[in-house]
Amino acid sequence: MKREGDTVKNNNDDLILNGIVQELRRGTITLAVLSQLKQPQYGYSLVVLMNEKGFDIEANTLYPLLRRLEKQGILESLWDTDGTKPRKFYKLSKFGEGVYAKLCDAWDGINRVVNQLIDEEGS
Amino acid sequence: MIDRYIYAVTKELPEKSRKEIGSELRALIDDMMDGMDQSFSEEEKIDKVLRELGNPQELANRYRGKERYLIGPNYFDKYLFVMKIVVLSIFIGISIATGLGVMFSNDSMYGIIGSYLGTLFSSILQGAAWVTGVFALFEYKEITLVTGMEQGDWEPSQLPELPKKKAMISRGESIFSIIISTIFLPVFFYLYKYIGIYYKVDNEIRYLPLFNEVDLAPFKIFIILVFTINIVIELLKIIQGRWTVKLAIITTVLSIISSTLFISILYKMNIWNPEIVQKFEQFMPISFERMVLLTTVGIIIVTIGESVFALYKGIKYGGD
Repeated sequence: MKREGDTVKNNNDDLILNGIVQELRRGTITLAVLSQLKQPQYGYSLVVLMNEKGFDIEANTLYPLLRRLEKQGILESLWDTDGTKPRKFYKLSKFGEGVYAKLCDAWDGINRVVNQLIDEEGS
Repeated sequence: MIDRYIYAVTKELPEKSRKEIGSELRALIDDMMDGMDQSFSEEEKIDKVLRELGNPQELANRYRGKERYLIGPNYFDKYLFVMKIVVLSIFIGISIATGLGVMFSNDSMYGIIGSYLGTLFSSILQGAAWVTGVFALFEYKEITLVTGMEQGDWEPSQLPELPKKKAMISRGESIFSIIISTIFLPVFFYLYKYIGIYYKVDNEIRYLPLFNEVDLAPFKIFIILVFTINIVIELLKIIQGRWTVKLAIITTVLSIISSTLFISILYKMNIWNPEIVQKFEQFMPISFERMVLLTTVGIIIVTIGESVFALYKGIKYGGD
């Protein structure tokens, strides 16, 4: 009896934890994607590349994101029709490079402060 | 299957980006299939890839970047509020109008109850549809109902002043006015035969209808329009809750339109029952035409008065 209740509770705890982790990850996706776009990439190659490097991202998240960033002027795109299938390549624009640099600074700042907070807690 | 998937995603998106997103997705699906274990059959691959991409609706939402609502969270509270008022007003209005109708009709009780329920149902449905339509339009066009606070930089000093008592629009008056309109609308519409002068001859009540039944018919649409405009004006007032310049201008324009319509109906001489014109001139010191003219002047004065009042309140207290 008791054990059964515990598993239910554990499942629920996992769900809550998962939700928070997802939320944490979501904020870092843009930065992670931008970091890989100094060289032009098309969507699928980027999915493969990021997953290889250990950052899980799915095409159905990445594609809309790329498009949005392009609309905002952070990325520029080019259709390559030379190959067997036409592909849209994305790459950081001039403006995007500036944004990326500042984002990195912001990331460092957040990281430092949060780490400090966590460390204080630990010691 | 791939085409169907792409169509399902892109049909939800703005026209101009459809084609590009479509070709991008097609290349993606192709790439994903190539990246799969070659032992799968073509169909299996397609199935797996589409499942991985997930619900096309959701993907379209991500492309769009925002959720779509018929009536979104910004408007929902006001929507409910207005809906309650409208439904209540219609309910009260129709009930009273039916009550009046009972006095003048010879229908059986069942007939009356039947037509009461029928009218009630269809009117409330129609009222609800109008309210929903108006709010859906607000949502679609992203019209803001309260100005200044929602977007951009914000300063505490920009907080709207507590509305001065004089700038407030009395909700009771508006509701009352809506109820009156909802009473008169069906009266004019269904019971116009009974509007007229009642008189007693030898203990028998007789009446002369005011309108010429046949010729009034084409004007019904205008009559509905006049009442509807008036109801819309009151609804706008309730939604806004206080006088502003914008509101004053809108209500002024609307009431000028409705008065103009009303006056033009009055001046169609053939809507009047010729008998009553004769009788009227027999017993009254002024001619019937004069009377219509006086009514017209009255309407114009009231309209101008109301408009000036609205504009005065709007300019003096509106401040936006």
